[in-house]
Amino acid sequence: MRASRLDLSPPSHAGLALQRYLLEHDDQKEAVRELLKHIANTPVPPVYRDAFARWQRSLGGAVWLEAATRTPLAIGLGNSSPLENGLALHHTYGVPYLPGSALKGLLRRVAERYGLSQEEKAVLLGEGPDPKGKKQGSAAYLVYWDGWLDPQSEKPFQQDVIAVHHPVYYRSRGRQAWPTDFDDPNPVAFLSVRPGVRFHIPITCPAENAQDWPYKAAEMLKWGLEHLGLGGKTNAGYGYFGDFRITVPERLESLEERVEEVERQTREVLEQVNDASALSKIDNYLPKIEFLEPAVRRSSLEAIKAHLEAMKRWDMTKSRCRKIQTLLEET
Amino acid sequence: MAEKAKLIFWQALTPVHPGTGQDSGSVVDLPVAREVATGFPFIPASSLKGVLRDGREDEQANRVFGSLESAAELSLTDARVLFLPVRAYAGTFAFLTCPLVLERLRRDQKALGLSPLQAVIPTPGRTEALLGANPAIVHEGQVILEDIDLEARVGKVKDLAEELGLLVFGPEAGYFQERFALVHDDVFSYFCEMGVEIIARVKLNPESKTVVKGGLWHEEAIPAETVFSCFAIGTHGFEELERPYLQLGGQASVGRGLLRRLGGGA
Repeated sequence: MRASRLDLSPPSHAGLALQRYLLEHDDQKEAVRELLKHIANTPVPPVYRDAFARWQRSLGGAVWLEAATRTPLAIGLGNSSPLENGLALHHTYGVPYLPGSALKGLLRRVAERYGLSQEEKAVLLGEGPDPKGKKQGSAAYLVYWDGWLDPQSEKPFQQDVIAVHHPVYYRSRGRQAWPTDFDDPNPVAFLSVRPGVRFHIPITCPAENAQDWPYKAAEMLKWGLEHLGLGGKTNAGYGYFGDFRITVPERLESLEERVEEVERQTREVLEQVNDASALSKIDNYLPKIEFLEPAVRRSSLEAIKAHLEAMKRWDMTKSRCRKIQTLLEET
Repeated sequence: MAEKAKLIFWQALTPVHPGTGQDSGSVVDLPVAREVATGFPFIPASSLKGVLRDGREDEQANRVFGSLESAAELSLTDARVLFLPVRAYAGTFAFLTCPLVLERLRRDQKALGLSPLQAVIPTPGRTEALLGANPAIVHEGQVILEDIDLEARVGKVKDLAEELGLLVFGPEAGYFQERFALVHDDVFSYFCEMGVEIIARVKLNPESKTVVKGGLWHEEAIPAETVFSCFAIGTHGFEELERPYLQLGGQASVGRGLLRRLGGGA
């Protein structure tokens, strides 16, 4: 810590406070307890609320899993910190968060319990490279975003302590001393997320209209958060969640409504195509409907074909007409 | 048809990892891409273009983004760091930039026939932070960043903060202006090297829940809130840029690289 800051109380950014504002390493760990007490009383910074709203808007198509800590949460204990234990804190805002990689890792454990097929695992989790089969491996189809703290949370942290009862035994792996009842416990102070803190976890799939997979992932993750726990010390009761809610984005309209919408757009384009010079409008429009399901685009393609025939421009030597014909033949 | 140019800004909503695909040989196993001359992190234009193209091979995409037969009608430049968020004692974080970054932006705006930044870009000393009118990042006359204390010079770059805020953030300019700090090139360079996010990752054995051997690695990421600037130059295809959000770079399946588009005036 810099000398110029010795008189300052730690900042409200918990990550910065944890990494840069420990006064000293005293034997009694007084300084550590002071620092942790300060952070435990730190509210969520105001700028975080806007950032959360911005982030939430950007993931409109996601399946959202909400969960609240039922027990303390100690995730990212191994993160670097002058204290012995770290915590996963958002770099920019200093609030606790659930790393997407930890969520994906938990899902991997759940997947073992669910007995999923290789294909299902490949979609949900990706495939590792296989050096023997010379396969390159692949990324998952889904995106497991970081779980963000609910912006209404007041003070998400708490001071916590673990008491190591047989430090000499553990340090020497049993070579120097056996554990006895006469050992002094060694209390280690650290920071954890208190019970009752809510997080929002979005899961998306880049493919269109593929919400079933993110939903399945959210269900499995819910089970994992409830029964297996997230983060460190799950055997000591840390990292279990409850009070779940899964929100699925509104489904797109019915097939008829979607067909109608595409037909309307097609009519708009065709109204502007009255002579050969405007034919490029059709060329520009085709890629937009090309990727729709055949059932949705069929009537529109037929309308374009009829329009071209009426203009005497239906000519199979032209790539545009060949393309329309090919699309019409797909089912 | 005459070429046009557009200036576009991207803001990171989650950490971004435009990886180099190389081991850095230092503590960080997976570093982010950096400009050779300055060491500032950046997003290569090829990453941006690839994501905008989305794997499409139709005529429209071939024309705009290029094919084996013909070059692209739309060129993109690398997205350079314009504002770097750095953790601060007051105000949670500061939006840092430096004269080199802004002069370079102005030079490119002029070269591409866009209206350049109007405000004066003063040169701060190595121990100063030049600020806008109502800064939220000052504590008793100082801007206290990660490891560096700077003297706060309030109101020294009021016009610049306002112009940049309007240009990049439009109606949201307020939260930017109160965090904006113009610092010396060397200070900015230091934070580009030392102030980015480092994420520790572990791979666990699913049965024992202990870390597998060699299963700990460190990744660098450009932190959330970072603003990048890039130019699009060309004759057609600007509508391809009309996307509010993009996801790019490495570690996408664990949520890195979510960007939102800001600005984009012709």
